Amino acid sequence: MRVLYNRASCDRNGKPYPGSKPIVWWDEAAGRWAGYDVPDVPVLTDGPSTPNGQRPFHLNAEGVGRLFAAVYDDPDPKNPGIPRDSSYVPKDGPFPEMYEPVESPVENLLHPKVASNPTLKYPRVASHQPIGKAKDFPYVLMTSTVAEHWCAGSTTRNIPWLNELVPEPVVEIPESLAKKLSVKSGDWVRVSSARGELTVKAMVTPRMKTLQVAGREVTVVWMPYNWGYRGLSTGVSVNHLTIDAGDPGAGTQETKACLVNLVKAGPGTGAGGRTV
Amino acid sequence: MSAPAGTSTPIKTTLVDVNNCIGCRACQVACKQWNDREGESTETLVQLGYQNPATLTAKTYTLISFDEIPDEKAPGGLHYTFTMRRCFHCLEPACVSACPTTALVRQPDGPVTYDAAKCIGCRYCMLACPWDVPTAEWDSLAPKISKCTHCADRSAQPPPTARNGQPLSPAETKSFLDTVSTPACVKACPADALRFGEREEMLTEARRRIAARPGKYVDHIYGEKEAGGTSVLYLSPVPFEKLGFPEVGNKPYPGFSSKAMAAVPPAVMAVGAMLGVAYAAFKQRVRAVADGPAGSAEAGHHVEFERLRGKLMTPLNRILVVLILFCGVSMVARFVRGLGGSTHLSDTYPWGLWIVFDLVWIAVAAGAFAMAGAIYVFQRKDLYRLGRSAVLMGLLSYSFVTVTLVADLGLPWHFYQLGLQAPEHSAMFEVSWCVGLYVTILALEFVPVPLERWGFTRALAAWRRWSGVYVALAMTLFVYMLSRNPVYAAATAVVFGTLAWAFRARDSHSEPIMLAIAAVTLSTMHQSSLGSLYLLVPNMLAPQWWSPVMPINFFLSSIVAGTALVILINMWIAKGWHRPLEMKPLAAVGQITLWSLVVYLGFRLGDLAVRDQLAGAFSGKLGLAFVAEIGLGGVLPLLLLARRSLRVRPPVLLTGALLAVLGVVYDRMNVVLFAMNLRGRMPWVAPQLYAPSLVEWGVSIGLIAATIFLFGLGARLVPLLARPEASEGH
Repeated sequence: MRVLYNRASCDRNGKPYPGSKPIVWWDEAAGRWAGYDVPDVPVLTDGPSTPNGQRPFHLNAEGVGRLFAAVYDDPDPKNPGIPRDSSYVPKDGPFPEMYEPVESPVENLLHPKVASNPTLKYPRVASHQPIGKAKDFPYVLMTSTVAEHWCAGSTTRNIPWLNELVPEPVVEIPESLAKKLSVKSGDWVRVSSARGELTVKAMVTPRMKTLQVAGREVTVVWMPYNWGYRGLSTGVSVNHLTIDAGDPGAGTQETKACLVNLVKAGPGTGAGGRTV
Repeated sequence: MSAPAGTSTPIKTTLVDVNNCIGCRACQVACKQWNDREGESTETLVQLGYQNPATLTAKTYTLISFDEIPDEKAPGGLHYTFTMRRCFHCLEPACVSACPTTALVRQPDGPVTYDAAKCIGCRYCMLACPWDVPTAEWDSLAPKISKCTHCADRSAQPPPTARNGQPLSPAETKSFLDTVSTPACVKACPADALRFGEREEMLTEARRRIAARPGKYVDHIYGEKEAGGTSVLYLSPVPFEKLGFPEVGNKPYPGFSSKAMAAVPPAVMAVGAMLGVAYAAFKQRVRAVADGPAGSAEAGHHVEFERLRGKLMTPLNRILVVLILFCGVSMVARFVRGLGGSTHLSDTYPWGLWIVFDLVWIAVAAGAFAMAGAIYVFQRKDLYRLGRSAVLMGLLSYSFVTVTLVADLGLPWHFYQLGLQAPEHSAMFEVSWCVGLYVTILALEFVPVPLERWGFTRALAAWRRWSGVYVALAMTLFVYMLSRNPVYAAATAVVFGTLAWAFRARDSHSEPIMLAIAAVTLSTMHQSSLGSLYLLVPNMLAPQWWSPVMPINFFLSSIVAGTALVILINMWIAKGWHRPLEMKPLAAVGQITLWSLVVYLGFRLGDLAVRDQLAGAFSGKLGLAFVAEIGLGGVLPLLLLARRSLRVRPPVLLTGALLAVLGVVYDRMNVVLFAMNLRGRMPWVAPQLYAPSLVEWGVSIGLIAATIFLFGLGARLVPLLARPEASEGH
């Protein structure tokens, strides 16, 4: 299976929505779900007329999608008191909303007074969780994985085949910023945030452009988060820089976006990082 | 072997759609996994984006290169393309044509595969490949060639008949074949950037994709026609030259040298027969002039040979011994540290100093066959005085070229494969056999001198009786090995057998004409085939040097260099060993040099003119090299040697001969190194530099020293030098 919940690409009767690319469908003649992908349904032979045929989001206890819900328990008759499944309830909602990250160079255009999620408590410990300001840390750092390494890399950074492909972390910076900092691809740059700093190789790219947000130039730089100090390939951990403000619903850290500053590091500087 | 598309066996083909590739490089890892290749220790190649490693290597059969190609119409102003780089599996592969031992073969269904057990490690395939795909294992003591095999070993797997004890249905068997029997890269691809199937199917699919999304693709299927068609096809959103794909033309590469190689077996017969006829004619004329019985013609040119007196360990020879010792050390280092560890050869420069050295040395050692031909075939008995030294020099030179090859080959202990395998049109195979046989001919040409010296009369009689038979056998074997055609072999046996019988030794004064004929025939073949080696690289060798008639250029220039070196050696002998300088025979050799130079230059420039390359030949840096080579090494010696009154003056003859030799030396250096556009392996982003290592210099210089030393030793042991004629009056 490649697409989770692909049953949801069909209508109630198990037919792909008109005008869409068919992925899976109910094959009436064969009496089973069929498709280009493996149908993501509870039971392959349970057609649209059965309850199982109407449960596209089958990882949810109730099998259907949710906008907003109360606590849900699916009681198990065999084991009273231990539900078969129970649902978690989002802390915020019910509708999607646009918030700026805790650290952002611009105000929230939708509602300037409430820039970030009001249900989020941050800093939790003020003395240890500083929040950077755009005047000190003018650039946005985004982080993500690379395809070749998985999460913090504890497995993948011990596989030489994968280390060959991406041997070390880099910071990707747009050409405009590279010009401003007089940095070429391969130069060492020091990246700092309110929480830490590190030195890493620059990779200058035309694939990222300076953005115009709220009439201001916003420059985004990027680093992978797959490195650490152990393994066959070691490298600076970008989490020296990132912010640990959690999303109030899932608790996921807001490591995708924070504010940083970049300066060109002198010759002879190698990789290294520390938390302030 | 080379069945182009449309013949009975369907060609298995991979279609690479650059548009679909997402750059995940699962193929690159899957390839290493299946082929059991190590991961490389790399650094971020910041100039190449995320591409890693920079080029194909012995450990990397395939890689994805990342290109950021500006295009105003594309979203964001650029195409970010991910392009698979790997072997194209030509329908008519240059590497297979080059391989002297059929270690590389094209399977009937397409894949070009490699068998290390047959490989001698000559690395000619690396040079021949128009896409610079094959690589060598430079960090190994037994460096094999390394390239994509199109996972031929995967498709060879028989489908299982059962799983967990349950028989497989036909559908399941087909599903197995569809997944497991495809190359590892294709199986790993999650984005439909790689498709695998029969070539016609893939071409249809490619055309369908282009037609379905005309704006998304350039209307070109790279590999459909390139180099005669390949079994890896590419579709791209940008013109292929922007991805760095070279323009290789539509002609199959083996075609560049196969004609020259196919000409060798008939040429052996023709040259041999012509030499026999020429000999008979000249002999007749000499007899007529002498107007007497056969013996008297030779009696008129009776030459006494003598040994060199004086002690061996002169200051020069002491230096030579030191160099020879250094050569020994270098040889040990070569095998202890391996080819990659002891030389500066690389995937960019698979051939270096040693090949220059071989090509140069074989060219200048052409004096031996030129003198043998002149003295015996063309009855220039006035040059007989120079014959023995020329032959010994030839024997030593060719022997040490063979020694250099032992050092230069990656897997020299597989040399016997040259006797077991039957490549179709490999110039390397021809050169190997031809040089090997010619060394035996040279040895036979020289052996009567020591036999006479130490009084082995019975051996001498046997030599006289059997050397003609040996020549006939050797030539027959040679033609059979090259053509694998019993009819050709039989015809050769008839031609050379007839000659051997006609020119059989009738008395103890008879001439070793069969050996001379063999020497000239074999030399004609391998001197020219050394040029044929480079016929396969029209894309790399600059047009001033590359020519479809390069074999003839090489042959003609070898006569120039060989005869000029005979002059130099004899002047050096006169000077160094305090012997009278005999200008008469040397000036006569100078005349041969002159005429061969006239023919060579005329042919070379004429060929350039005919192919419309003359106008552009003088521009640029290579134009300068060309001018230097032709002007200083060709025209100038031509002027110096042009008049007899000039030729007999020692400084003029010396300068002329020296320039002529250096001109040919420079020509060979240009061909091997300077005029070659060596860009490193695919995708040509990291060409390495080359300067020969100490070991390379040590072996080369040491073997030259050994030649000079052994020549001096030979001159002291056996009568090598003609006793000065009283009439010379020096």
